[in-house]
Amino acid sequence: MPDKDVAVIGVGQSAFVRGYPGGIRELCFEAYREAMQDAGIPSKEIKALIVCCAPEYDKQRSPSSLIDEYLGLTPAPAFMVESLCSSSTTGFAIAYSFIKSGLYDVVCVLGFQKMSEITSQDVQERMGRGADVMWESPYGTSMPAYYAMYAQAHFANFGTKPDDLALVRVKASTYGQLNEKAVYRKKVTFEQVMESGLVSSPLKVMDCCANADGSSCVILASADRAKEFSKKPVWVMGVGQSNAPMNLASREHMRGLECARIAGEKAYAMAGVGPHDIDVAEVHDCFTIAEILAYEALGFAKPGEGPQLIRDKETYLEGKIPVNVDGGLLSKGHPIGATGGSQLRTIVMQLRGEAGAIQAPNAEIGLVHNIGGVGIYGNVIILGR
Amino acid sequence: MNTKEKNKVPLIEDMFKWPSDEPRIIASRCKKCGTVSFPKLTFCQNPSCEKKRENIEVIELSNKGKLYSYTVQRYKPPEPFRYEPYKPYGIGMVDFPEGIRIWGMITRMDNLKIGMNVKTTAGKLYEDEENEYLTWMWEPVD
Ligand SMILES: [Zn+2]
Repeated sequence: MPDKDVAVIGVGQSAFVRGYPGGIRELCFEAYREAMQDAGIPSKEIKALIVCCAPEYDKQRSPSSLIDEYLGLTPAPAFMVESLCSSSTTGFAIAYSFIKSGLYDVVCVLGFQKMSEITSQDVQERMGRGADVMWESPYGTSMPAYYAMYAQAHFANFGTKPDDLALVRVKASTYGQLNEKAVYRKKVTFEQVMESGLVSSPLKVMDCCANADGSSCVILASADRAKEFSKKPVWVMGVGQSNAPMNLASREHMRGLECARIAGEKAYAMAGVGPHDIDVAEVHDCFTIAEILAYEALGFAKPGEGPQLIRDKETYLEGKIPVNVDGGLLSKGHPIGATGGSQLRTIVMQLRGEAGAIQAPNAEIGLVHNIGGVGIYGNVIILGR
Repeated sequence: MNTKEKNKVPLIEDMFKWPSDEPRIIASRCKKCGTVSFPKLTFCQNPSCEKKRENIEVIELSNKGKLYSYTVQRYKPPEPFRYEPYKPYGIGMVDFPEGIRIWGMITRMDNLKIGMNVKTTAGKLYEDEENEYLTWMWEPVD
C-alpha cells in the first residue's frame, strides 16, 4: 500500500500539435482547464503554480507571471522550473515536497512548450545547445547524434540491431493511432521504419520523435484535501532524481543512462517496490534506442536484454510490462516542458481505470521515466492507487 | 587569376597544435592531482582539488587514441557549426592514453568500428576570401 500523504487529483493535456495557433497563455489554459475540470475544484484552491518549460524556445520572459495572471491564480505564488525535457517532472517533485512539508495543500504543475514560436532551424540549434555549446561547436553535433552514439555503443556491446529499434517505433504507432492528442497518428510498418532515411547512423527518421507545441497540467493535493475533492486519488509513492555530467565524454560508459538508473533506484526504494511490481510505465522515448535503454535502466530487463523485451512484445498491452501504450513521445510528439506531465496524465488515467482502449489490466502501480537532455537529468516517479 | 594559397587557420585558437605536421590536441593537466582537461582550463576541474592557477600546465596529448563511439551525421546541423560544402560526416569520441575522452569529426564515414585506432589530424570546415578554417579531426589508422 502506498503512503497516502500526497495525491494527484487532476490531470489535463492539450492536443500536441504542429504550430499551435494561439499564444502560450491560451496553450497553457487548454491543459489547465482540463485538469481543473478533472479535479472538480475552483481556481481559488490552487495555492501555488509551478510552470515548467525550457525558456529558450519562447519569446516571453518570465512566463510564470503571465500565466499566473491569465489563469486567474494571483495572488498565489508562481515560478518557473527548467530541467530541459524533464521540466514538468522536476516541477512535480517540487510540488510533492511543498505539500509533504505542509507549506501548501494544493499545487498546480503546468508544463508547456511552444516550439513554433521560433523557426525549426532555431529549435535544432537550441536543442544542440542543451549540451555544452562552448566547446562542442567545432565539430557539429545534434540531439540525434548524441543518442546515436548510445545506440552504437549498445549495438557493439550487446548485438542490438536496427530491427530492434524499428520494433519500438511500430509499437508506438500501434497505440499512437488511438491517441486523439498525438501529433502523429498514422500506423507505421516495420518496413516503413527500416526504409526511412538515416539521420545519424544508426538512427533513422522514424527512430526520432517530432517537435510539437503542447501543454500538460497535474494538480496535487494533501491527503485531507484529496479525500475532500476526489473519489479516485492517485498517490505519490516514489520520487527519484539524478543528474549525469552534461558532457557525454565525461561519463563513465555509454551502455545506458546512469541518471535514469539511479533515479529509478531511488524511486523504487522510496516506494518500497521493485520493477516486477510495476503494472504500466511511461518512458522517455525521444528516440527508439532511448526506450530500450529505459527498459534496462528501470530493471524491466537486465543490461543488454532490453531488445528481447520488444522482440517478445512484452511491452505491448498484453505483455508483462506495458510501456508507452499512449504512443509515447514517438507518436505524441515532444513539447519539451509538457512531456513529463503528459506521461503522468497517462499513468494517472491508467491507475484510475479510465484509460479506455489502452487500459492495462488491473493497473495498481505505474511508473513515469522522464529524461532531460541526452541523459543529463533523470526523473522517475512511481504512482499507486 | 588568383593563385595565392589561402591561410589555413584554426577555427578556435589553442585547441589543437597548428600549424604542424603532426597536429595534437592541446589540453591542460593539474600538477597536483593529474586531472586532464580539454579545452585547457585555468583552474583544475577536479571538484575536490584546489583552485590555483600555478597548479595547471598546458600539455599536448598523444597523437593516437581509440574510438569510443561514433555516428555518421546525415543532415546538416544548424549554425554556429559550418561545414561547407556540406556532406555527411562521421563524429566520434576518442579515448586518449592521458585519461580523457574527446569529441571530434572523423575524416571518413565508412568502415568505422568502436575500438579502432585513430590519430589526430586537422581538416577544413569552410573557407572565406582569405582563410581556410580548420578543426581537429580523427583519422582512422587501423
Ligand atoms: Zn587538480
